[in-house]
Amino acid sequence: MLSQVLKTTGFALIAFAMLLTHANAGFIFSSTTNQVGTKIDFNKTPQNPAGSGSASKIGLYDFRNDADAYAYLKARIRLWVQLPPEAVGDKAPYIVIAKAGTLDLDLALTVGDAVRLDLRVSYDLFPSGPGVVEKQTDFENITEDQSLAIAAIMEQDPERRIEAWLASEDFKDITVPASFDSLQIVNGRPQIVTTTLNSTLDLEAVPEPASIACFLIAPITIYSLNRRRQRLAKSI
Amino acid sequence: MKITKQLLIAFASIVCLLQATPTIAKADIISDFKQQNAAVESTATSRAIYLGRLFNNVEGGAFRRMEAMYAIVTIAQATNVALFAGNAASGFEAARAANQIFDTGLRVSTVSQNATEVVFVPGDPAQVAPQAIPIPAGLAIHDSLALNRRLDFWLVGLPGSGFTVPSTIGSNPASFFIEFHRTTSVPEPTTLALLCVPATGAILAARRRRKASKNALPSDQDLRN
Repeated sequence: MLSQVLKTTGFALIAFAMLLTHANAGFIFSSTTNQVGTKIDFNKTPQNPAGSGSASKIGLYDFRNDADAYAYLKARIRLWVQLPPEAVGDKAPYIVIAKAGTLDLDLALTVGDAVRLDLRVSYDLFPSGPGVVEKQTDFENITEDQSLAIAAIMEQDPERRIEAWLASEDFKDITVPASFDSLQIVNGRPQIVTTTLNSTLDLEAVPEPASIACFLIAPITIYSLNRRRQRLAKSI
Repeated sequence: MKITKQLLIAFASIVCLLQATPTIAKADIISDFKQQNAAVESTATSRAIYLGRLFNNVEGGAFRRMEAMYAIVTIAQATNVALFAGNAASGFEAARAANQIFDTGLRVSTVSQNATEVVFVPGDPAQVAPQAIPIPAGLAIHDSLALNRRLDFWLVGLPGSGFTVPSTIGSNPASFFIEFHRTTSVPEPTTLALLCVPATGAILAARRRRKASKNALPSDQDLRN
């Protein structure tokens, strides 16, 4: 009897430890893609069809095939961008995750094909300056609702691809360039060198609650059923 | 015979004047480049971005006007953005109100709307002729250079337009380049009129003499009588 209790307790401890290990470490899904740079009007209303702001498509990110089966905890992004100096604090543009192939971000947000994150790219985020700079945010928490929305958006694409947009309700003069030309003067004459730019989206994730439950409950259930069968066999 | 001689003198004077004009005129090319400043001035009437100041300590000399120019700027998402030149260190709108900055006539548009591009206006200097500057603007820009020995350049778009002009790209400076073709000739209407005055005077004088000589000759009737 004592050995049975010890076995059960030990098994539960192992399962709990496994759960904690998964919950604490998580996975970091990382995807790097070439920047797209398409800019559209954003925050459109019937009174202001041109919108008060703009949204620039940063890129289309590829994740693992089972990426929709995870709960997302945190996100961060690295991108090349030019922001106006006023884009700080509440006016800093934020990241929107959207379904692949989104053309109208206002519409996508309305119908649930896009979700706004609390991840902002601020002008004063190092390095700041009046030019095209490469910025990387810190990891920012993702809420449960946002996580579910990201997983749902991923599920809509067979390759679990999602788009990231940089959206601002206040500014139109934001540029997320796909590439840039630099002008060099050689022997008094101008020459152009073109550089393609890329961006990286990192998502920190854990297996979704259902998977965690399977990890914990399934072995215990199997063990309990086994014990019950043994007890019945003994009684017979 | 005398009338023909007068007419010949008049034509000769016109030909001489026209021949003399190009030999007086001189042409010069000045060019300069610099890192873009990219300071933004947004008002209800325009959105202006300061490119920077070029041609420091360049003197006006014998030249009178900017005849044509090339511009090369680093810019993103631009459509028909105007390039202004003049004296406007204190701000674009203030300078425009004081008639100190002038539209060069050049318009900058990017080829694609998703990249930060180096745009050549009107095209690659090795392949395309420079764009002519309207004569009043060309005179005013050169006067500004002669007076201040420098020129400020601004890119100007509609209010709320989303074009961006970088000062840096990564760790590299984003530069702009301007080349002016300037000349001493001022083929404005007034000058052309002045050129025509002596010639017209000579023609009129010849005509008057011809009429006078006609009146002095006896008619056929007079001769019959």
